[in-house]
Amino acid sequence: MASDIQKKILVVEDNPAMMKALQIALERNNYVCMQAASATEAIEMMKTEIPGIILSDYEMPIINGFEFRQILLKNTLWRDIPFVFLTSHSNDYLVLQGLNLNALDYIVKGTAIPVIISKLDNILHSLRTEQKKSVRELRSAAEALNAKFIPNKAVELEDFHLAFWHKPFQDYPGGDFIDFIKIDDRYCFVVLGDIMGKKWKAWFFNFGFLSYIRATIRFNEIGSTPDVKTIIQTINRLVQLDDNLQNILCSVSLLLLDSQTGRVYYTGAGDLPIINYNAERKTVTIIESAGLLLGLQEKSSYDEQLLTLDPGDQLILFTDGATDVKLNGVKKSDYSSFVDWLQAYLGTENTFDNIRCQMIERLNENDQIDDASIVFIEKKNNP
Amino acid sequence: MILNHQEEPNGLVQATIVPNEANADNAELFKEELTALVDNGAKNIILSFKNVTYIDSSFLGSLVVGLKYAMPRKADIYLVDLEEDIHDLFRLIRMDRVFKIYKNYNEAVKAIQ
Repeated sequence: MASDIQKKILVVEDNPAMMKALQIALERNNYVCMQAASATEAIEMMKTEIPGIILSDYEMPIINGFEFRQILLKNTLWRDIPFVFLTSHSNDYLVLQGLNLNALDYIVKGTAIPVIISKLDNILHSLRTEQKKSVRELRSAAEALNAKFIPNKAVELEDFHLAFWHKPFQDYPGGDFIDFIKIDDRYCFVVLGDIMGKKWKAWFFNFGFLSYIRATIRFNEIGSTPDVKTIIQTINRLVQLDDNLQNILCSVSLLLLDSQTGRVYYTGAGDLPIINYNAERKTVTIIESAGLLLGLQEKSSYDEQLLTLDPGDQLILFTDGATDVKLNGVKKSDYSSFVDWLQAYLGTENTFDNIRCQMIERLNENDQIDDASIVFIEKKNNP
Repeated sequence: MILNHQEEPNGLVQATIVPNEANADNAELFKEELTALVDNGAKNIILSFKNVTYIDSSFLGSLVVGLKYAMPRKADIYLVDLEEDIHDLFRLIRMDRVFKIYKNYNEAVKAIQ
């Protein structure tokens, strides 16, 4: 059935007894119930909180249900919220008038409450199914265009073990992207990015950013030693020149792995600090890059840090969806707690598998609030 | 309404973000309200985060877009009353180098003067 996020319902009803009965029944059926006694109150509420579905009375003083529906249809943020009328009228003309306003259903008061709940569940379920179908179709179209933002698997390197885990927010293709670009037997780039936005909008702009990143890396490869600082500066300049990406921001961690020396060159743009585990000393270091988000300023300066990995040393990169969770119903960004949590698995046998299994538990559907991605790099113990 | 605001003399505006969760649902409206303040002549906007317990990347993006809109129009945005973990997030992703962040309204006013 529909996920918890979609089951946030706004009930607009001026009869307190009817409101109470609906609220109890809805909450018993896992709905989060926002309650408004008038259309005006409902409009005020929706300015700060958007419900997944609206159940609105028709007969209300000052602004009736139809007028309320018309107000919603004029607002780009509210017009697509599924809307169901609740009324004591069963007049065909009124029903038709309501359905002409793109209401999904028309429930007559007096309908048994379990039936009302069942109707709402069915509406949300159908919408969810339809949405999944659209996502699948769009995904296939994007794959046909080679617009793939998360690889099927990490590349195989002789000296480094690479792995990743990614979980999109509510199964939407979203704002995170991952890429491994192997230049030759010696050099391989690792890219982890996050567009600042959600769902389709972020997914659409992924294409622009990742295209510039891929192209810049490939161009840089021609005739010069790869240099992550120059590459990220070039990407930022290109993004600034692209009118379609104006006011779109993106964080990126960019690493260049050198198999010959075991060196890793790291630069970042507004990314979360990465984690470095030293196997010999069994210590964890947090490494911060200095760059600002891509697209923020034309003349941003970026740094380059050199890390030398010995066998068993590990690097972990992640996006904010991995650190942000909902605890007891309250959303929090807590980088430090995430790093503390992560430390228990660093340096263990099968570190990445352990992290992946634990992340799935940590970010179950109710707790995840954004796209979550983790990239794992470990220097192999080659003879 | 995402911003509750009060206009002071000399283009100073005291604005408070109303919702506890500053997220994708309200980011677009926030951006519109913030840029409208600039269009209406605000020169120094002191933006209070006192109600905000969580900020997501969409809202953060709108905040940056608001600043990019304000700067060429000779306006500036000051952030105050940030909860510790939100302030930490700003530091972690270097946004503290982009925004002027102060402990509270009085400190921001002092800095503006």
